[in-house]
Amino acid sequence: MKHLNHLLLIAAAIAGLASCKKEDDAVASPGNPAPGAAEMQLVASGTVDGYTVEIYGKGTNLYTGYNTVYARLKNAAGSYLGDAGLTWEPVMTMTMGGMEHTHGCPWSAPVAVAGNASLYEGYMVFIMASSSMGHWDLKVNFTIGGTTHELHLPLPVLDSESEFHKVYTSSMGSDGTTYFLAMLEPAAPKTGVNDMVVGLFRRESDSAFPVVDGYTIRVDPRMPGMGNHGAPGNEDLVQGTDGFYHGKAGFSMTGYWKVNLMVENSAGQLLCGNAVTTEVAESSVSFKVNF
Amino acid sequence: MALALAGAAMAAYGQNPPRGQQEATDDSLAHELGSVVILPASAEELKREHKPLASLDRYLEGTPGVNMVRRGAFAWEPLLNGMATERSVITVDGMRIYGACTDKMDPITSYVESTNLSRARIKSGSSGSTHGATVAGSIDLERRREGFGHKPVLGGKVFAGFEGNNAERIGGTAMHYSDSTVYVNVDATYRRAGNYKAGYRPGMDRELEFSQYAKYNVSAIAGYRLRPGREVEASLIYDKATDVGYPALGMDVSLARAVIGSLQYRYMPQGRAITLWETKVYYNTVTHIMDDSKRPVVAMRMDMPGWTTTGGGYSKVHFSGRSHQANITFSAHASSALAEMTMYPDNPRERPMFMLTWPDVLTRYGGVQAEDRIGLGHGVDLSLHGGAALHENRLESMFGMRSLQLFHPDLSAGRTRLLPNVGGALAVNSGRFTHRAGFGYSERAPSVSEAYGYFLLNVSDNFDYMGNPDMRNESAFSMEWSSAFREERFDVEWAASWFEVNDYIIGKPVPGLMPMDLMAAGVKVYTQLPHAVLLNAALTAQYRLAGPWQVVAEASYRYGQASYGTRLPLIQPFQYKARLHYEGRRFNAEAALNGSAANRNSAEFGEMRKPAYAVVGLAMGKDWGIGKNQLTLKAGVDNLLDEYYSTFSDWQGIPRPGRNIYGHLIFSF
Repeated sequence: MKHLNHLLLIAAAIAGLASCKKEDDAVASPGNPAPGAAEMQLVASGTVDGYTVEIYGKGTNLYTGYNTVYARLKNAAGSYLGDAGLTWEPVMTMTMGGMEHTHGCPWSAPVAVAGNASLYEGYMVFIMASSSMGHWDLKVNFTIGGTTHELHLPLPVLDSESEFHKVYTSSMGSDGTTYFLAMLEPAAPKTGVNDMVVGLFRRESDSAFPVVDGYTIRVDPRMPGMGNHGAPGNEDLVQGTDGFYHGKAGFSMTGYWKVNLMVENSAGQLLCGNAVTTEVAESSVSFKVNF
Repeated sequence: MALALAGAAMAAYGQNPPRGQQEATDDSLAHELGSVVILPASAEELKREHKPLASLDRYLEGTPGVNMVRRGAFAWEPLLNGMATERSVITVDGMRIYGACTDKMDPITSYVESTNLSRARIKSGSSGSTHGATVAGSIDLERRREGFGHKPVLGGKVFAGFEGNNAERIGGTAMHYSDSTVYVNVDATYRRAGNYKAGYRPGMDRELEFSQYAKYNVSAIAGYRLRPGREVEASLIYDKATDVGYPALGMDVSLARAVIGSLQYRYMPQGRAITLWETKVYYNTVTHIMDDSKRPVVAMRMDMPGWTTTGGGYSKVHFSGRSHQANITFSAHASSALAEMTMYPDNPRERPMFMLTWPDVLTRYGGVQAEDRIGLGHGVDLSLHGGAALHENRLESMFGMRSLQLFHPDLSAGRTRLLPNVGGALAVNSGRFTHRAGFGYSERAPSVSEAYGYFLLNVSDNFDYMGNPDMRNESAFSMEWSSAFREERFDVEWAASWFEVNDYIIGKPVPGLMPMDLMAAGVKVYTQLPHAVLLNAALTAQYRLAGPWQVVAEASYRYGQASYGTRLPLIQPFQYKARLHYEGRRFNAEAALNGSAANRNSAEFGEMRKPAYAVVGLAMGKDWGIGKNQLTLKAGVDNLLDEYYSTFSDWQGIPRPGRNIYGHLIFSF
């Protein structure tokens, strides 16, 4: 059944991309990576007032959880423009029972990449996948010669979670706040000690998902298929100067690991998740890796 | 049972010397603490051995100083002076070979056959350091080589044996040719055994499942005399065991294979201080594949293959002076050890669990060892030995290194150690008495498992063992003392040795760590205890009755204790043997009683208490001359009364075989 779901998702993604590309053909060279960043793949683009906005991901798709996102702005002559005050905001529009509802997700403002003023970089943490219930749009604004232009680009977002893979989760904390956790690293887990980087956000309003500061994320990776075996080498995650939470995860062998998590506030109060014990096999908040 | 009659101190038999006569070669063990096991080939040697076609394991088992750990019917692990194989050096003609099983299911002794060998030389303590650093001593398995003769001789034997208890069939042949410039030995042996049956216990199933094995071994050795005093020799052993069951373990072995080759040059000048200069290069590979596919119920299917590859060489120079017999050996080898474990989850979408249980560890060793025996006159001999070696371990696998860094964050890829040793002994012959006193000091490096092992399950104590690369050298100070009294009808010898081991390496539980094996109780990490003491004592007495009758009695005892109340595992309790032997011209017979007191079991290491036992055996031998040929028949009954028993060295309490009727037939030509 899960397989089938995967296949459907992948099919939908391919269809979505193909449709994107058709639109783009006239104005840009789709899939053509930006200079100097071979891993960048075009995921969306659109044109307004003769200006073309190209949105790139690290892969061919955007997924629930953390995504590094790039943007470029091109004028009608084909030159890429810097210093255009480019901003973005991802918005999910949901239709439920005939009612339309919008909300956002955690994201960072696009910032020009060092050494390339016309390439903007930021991140978006999609908190749900695109579906028949709702779709993501990226609202992009830029200002050229005192004139502000705006366009909405549809962003297809796939579900990153599968049976043995989970890099994004949310949890209602005991303080009544909803927290969002997205794992950046390890993107490619290895046997041994892995650097672990997690983004921790909370819902302030439907449009504000700020970074949570000064908390601790406790980490306890286990192998459910191996008697809940765990390894040493774990280090609880604390916030770094980049705003993300940094720590370590130890994997003593390849295979499927559930990375159990506990979120504590700066007073040491447990807000999300629970400790793994001999009786309680897993935390209610966790990531999954399978390598 | 085996032909290990040499006492702990003195009586070492040469190729065919009469009983009690000391061997007088350069390596004479009359001057060393140790013993020799002879693997019979000649008619004379065959006479003394009741089970000539027995495995090398059985030969070693009967040797003072040696115990064999049984995990099944095959590939027993030799303990020397109460210490396991990490603490001893086992070589084949001076060649270092490393077993490829992380669970000690393939000691080097399992990769040779008794037909490949002429004898096993056992040296105790630091005197066994010639080919490697050791605490317990060394066992060198000497190849059987015909040697050059004056006139061409072609001979050989064909043999077959049957052991009733486990339907073991033994068959093979050995051929040899020699003349003044060439010698060649070729042999092949095949063994196949079913499950064995334990002794009688009411209401109990007697058959031990997974105790079967099959093994074949072929070997060849050839020497060529380039000119007088200069010889070359090439040797090759191919050994392969398949379908080996280990009833004491959760897994069996589908393949254990070794290829062992060497080239040797010998230079024997005439009338010079150098009497023999022997140089050898060698190479060997060992493959060991564990297999759980025959077990009906396992927690999880897994593959556990291991490989070792070793290359090395040595050059040994013997000197002879008026009152000195000296030799110096330069040796070096490099060995790589790699072992994997892959576990397959029931859900195929879960990735297999893979780890390196030996993370491709390269061991490099280079050492020099010198010995001198000085005749001081008046029946007093002084022996001295000493040497030093450089030992290096290097992790070749980044994957393995990353894995171990979980447990040892500061792990470095390599470590070099200096391993010194020194020792001496004084022997005094006075009338009917011979006394010897010796001492030794030596250091050893942790083994690959002790330093770098990764989740190695020990089913005896049910802990996963983790290596510890940060350990110091283990060192041992030993003292040995022996005396013999000999007269026409009566011999008595006793020997005792005492080892004070510092920084004794042993596994201790670390509570925070979680085991890997689903059934394991926890994780033990190798650590070092400040002290351990091992005591070995043995007494042998022989009385020659009137005519062809002879009575032999042996008794031995070991004791092992370490710091913090740690009772050492696998320590032999008081054991005794008594034999009544009849030696006719063409017929001999023996009745033997072997017994043991209950063991002082180490519960910490999962040992159970084994009650005292006594078993009786009968054996007879008969030979017939057929022209120039000889036919030898050996037959007997082991465990005549079908006693159900298990010894201190039987893992997991597996019982010993019950009654076994056997027959061995050898046709020599």
